[in-house]
Amino acid sequence: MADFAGKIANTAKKILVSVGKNNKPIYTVMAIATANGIFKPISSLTDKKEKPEARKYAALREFATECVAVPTYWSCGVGAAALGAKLFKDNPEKKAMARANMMFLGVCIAAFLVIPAVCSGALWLLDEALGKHKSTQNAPSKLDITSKGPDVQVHTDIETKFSGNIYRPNMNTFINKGGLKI
Amino acid sequence: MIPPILTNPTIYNITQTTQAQVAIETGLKAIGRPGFILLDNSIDKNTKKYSSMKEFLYQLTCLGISLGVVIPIFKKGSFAIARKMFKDEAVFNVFKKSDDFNKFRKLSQDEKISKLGEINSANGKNYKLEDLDENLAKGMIEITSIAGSILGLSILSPLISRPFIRPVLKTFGFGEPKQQPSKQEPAKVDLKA
Repeated sequence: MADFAGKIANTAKKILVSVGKNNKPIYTVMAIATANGIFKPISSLTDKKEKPEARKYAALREFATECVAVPTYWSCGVGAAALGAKLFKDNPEKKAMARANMMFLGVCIAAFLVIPAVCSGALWLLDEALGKHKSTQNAPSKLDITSKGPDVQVHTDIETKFSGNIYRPNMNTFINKGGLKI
Repeated sequence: MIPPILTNPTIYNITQTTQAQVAIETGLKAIGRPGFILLDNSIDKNTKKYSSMKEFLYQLTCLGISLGVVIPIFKKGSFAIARKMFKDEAVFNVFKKSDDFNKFRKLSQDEKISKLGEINSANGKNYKLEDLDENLAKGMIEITSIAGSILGLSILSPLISRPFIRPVLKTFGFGEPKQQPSKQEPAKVDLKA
């Protein structure tokens, strides 16, 4: 048991020393985004002032936002850091500093521009999948019975044309008119 | 030409601090997210204003709670926890508070030696500069700040902001947008025609 506790302490020490040497901004933002993806939807689901459907929808939106945020932070941060290292590849002293500063810049751009932009698109797709747009686009328009419709030609004068020597029985004879049929 | 800001040591020091990272990132979110809501053309004007203001206030609440309350408490407690976890570590025995360590870390090498001498003579100990694992102490401060940020931003802020934001929005004249009547309701028949 003491050995196990010692192993945990050693691992914790290694992590702490690593963070102390280089506290990468992606650690913080990704940890916060992950926690937001878990706790914010739970918080929305427990909001008793909202309707159940609205709660579920808000929770889903928050979860989707953080699902977008985590990989975006990582890719923007790591990508920018790689670019910083590339720019100062001949200067090892400045390389580490450029890598760290560029990673922070990447995270800032992700928070300010990339994530809101990607989320706008992703949430639109989510709304589309859930049919949120359908209610407005495919809604039946107000019944309009006041405007004039196309004129329909109705033939009132039925002309009897001579059609040769063909016997045509008067169909009125067979129409049910009630009473005794002969 | 590569901008000198990329290799600026002051910016480097800022980027290495969790508190600064959280403050800048949340500040950018407070501008960026409401901005994108305002740019969205698929929402009506009132809903846009209300949603963007709500998001802005939410991010401000996050910032206030994290930076003003949670992170300072966690920072203060970090060395107390570390002293229990790492009993033999000199750095946690020399410095009782994280603020004392942060001040010490900013000193030059000579100043550090003379400061450590003062602390040793006051405590009756004989620690050398090599005994102090500064990275471990700094890592402890940053990790507890990250934990504090998570608690503040993800758990406390949604709970605190919920009853607080709606009255504030009402006070500033941002009433909750009224829901338009559903378009799928049966249409009224114009009997006058």
